[in-house]
Amino acid sequence: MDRRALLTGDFSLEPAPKQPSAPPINVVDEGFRRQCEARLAEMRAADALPGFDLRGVLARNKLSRRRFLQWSAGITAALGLPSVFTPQVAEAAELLGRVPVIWIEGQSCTGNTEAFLRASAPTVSELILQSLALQYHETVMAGAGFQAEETLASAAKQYAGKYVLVIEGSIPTGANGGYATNGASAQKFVDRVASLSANAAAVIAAGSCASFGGIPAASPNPTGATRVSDVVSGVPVINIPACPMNPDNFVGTILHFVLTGQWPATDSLLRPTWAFGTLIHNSCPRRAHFDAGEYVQNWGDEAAQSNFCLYKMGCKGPYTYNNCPSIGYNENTSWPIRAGHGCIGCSQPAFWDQLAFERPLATQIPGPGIFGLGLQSSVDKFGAGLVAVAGVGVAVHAVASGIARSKSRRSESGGDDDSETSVEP
Amino acid sequence: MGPTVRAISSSSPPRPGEIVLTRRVMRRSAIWRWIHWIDVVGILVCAFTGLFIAMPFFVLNNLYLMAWVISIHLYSAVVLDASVFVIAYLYLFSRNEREIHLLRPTRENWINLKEAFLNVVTLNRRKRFDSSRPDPLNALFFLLLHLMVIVQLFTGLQLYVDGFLGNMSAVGAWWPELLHFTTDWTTVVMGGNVGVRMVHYGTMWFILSWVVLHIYYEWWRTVVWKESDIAIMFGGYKYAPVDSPGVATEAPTANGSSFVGASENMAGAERISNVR
Repeated sequence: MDRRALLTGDFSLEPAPKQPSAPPINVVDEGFRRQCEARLAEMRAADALPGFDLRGVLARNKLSRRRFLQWSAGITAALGLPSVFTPQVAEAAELLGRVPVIWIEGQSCTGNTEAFLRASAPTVSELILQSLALQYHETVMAGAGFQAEETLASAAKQYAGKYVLVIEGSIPTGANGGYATNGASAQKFVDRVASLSANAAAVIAAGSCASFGGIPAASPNPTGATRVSDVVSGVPVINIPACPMNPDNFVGTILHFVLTGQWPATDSLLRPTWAFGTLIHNSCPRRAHFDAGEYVQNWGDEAAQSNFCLYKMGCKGPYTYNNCPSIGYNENTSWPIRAGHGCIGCSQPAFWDQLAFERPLATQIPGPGIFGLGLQSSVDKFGAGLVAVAGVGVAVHAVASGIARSKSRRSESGGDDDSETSVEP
Repeated sequence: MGPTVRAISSSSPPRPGEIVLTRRVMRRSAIWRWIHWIDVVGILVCAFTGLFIAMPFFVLNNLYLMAWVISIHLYSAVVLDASVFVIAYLYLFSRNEREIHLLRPTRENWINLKEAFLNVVTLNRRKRFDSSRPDPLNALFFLLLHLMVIVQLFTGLQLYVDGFLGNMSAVGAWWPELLHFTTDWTTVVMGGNVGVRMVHYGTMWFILSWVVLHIYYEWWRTVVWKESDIAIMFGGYKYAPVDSPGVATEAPTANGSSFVGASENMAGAERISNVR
């Protein structure tokens, strides 16, 4: 659907005059829908992989079918599809088990795994992630040691060219890759990424560390940590940043693949545009307070209690692309700004160095930047210093000019002073 | 005895009570003077509103304050950008004041540039160039400002389109597409939208430093040369000693000058006397 049509549509309460030639606004692309249905039929015909039983998992966790369809409708809207696609999305969720997934972890806190494992009341996205056709995942698999290694090797061989490789955590390249090893054979993580990605259908970087290096790559980056897209080549890479990534964004991206057979369109930082297409600032529920100039000045003040804008408390929503305001975390239970804390820009590159502090960029924060003054503050100090140096230079030049002038006058008038009372010779 | 009357050389300062013959020289047409004062307002408004956007240093509730400040910042930025386009046009195609001539690496321009520079650093002890006409030193100095404003144009438009929702805008998709096409390189060069923001912010300080130096240089010329240089931006005229180079010749345009406008105007320059 052309969302621009919403901007130009007629919202008058009066019934619109009939325009037989004008195309209707909310047209479903029937060709696209048939394409999706053909793809789903193809997926349905494929063999189901062991370990994925969505209906059973939902029933065991007492999640009703109604709840599941609500979730499907939400994901459909988030993906930018019209609501008539909800049944297809629901079916795609049931067919997720046809996609083998290998999940490996490098320099990370396991936060992206924890984000969906540790919920008190599991959400549909989290249940789907738990019950994905995971062939290898160090945190959730039962096997250990050389047994787990065997599983990985056989899965990589059996599903070569078909599996989705999910990478959590950054990849250390310092010390010849020796800062992180995986598995009982202590294979270097950078080597494991290279060998597994060579036969993958696609690589998904889960979380900010895998997407952009994240916290391990923050200054001074002692391990030479780097992002997935710097190591992997020749395979589509999709970044799902944020700290932790939103499980909905991860599931939505895989659903897009199941539903259409294609990976979603990405921006220049390889983030799916359906999830990372707009600034948090633009869809922020507190945006009106920003425009009105109503800011929280101190934690807990009257403005904070009135849900005013958190810009002066260091909110980085104006620099951060994510869909937090529309889908939230934990089935839209909350997200940082709704909870009364500014955004720390966790889905942006280099967020730990550039954005993750509770003050605006304009204030002095300890961190990278010249003179160790932090980013904008160092620009401020440098700039004010520059103006001051210009002013001092101006003053010195002006005084020197004055002295030179009076000297030259004195020498021209024969050493006399230049007052008007002097007598001409 | 009455006061001595002489046509002084511009390099020898007048003595007290001396009458100096000067001539009025047309230096800037009305369009340049308008551009100048529009840019003065634009730069000051942009700097002030920009500092406020970076850190809202006062709060007035219910006035839609930040929205207004951002709008005013954008309005004055657009005016500045438009003035840069007009200036670029006049630099290249103006019939009478084609400043690009002063920026060409000709021998005369090199000499004048060197002499104008030596005039400043020797504190006016040495003045061997024609101060009645625009000089390459000031032209280069202004080129620096224009380049900095162009940096602000690209980084500012990138920050502007950064806030658009996809390719949607009030005037159609072509506008954000054009902005992305022309300014997305800045994010690659400067390190993401935070880097672009820092460059936009830092360049403001360079422009403010430029303003300090510019005001001083023109004030210095006015006070030290005694040729009313500041008056150029009010009435368009300055005053130069009658015996300065380029005046004695009958055909001023034949003196090898590459600056057409001043030479033409010099033919009709008024001769007036000025008691110093």
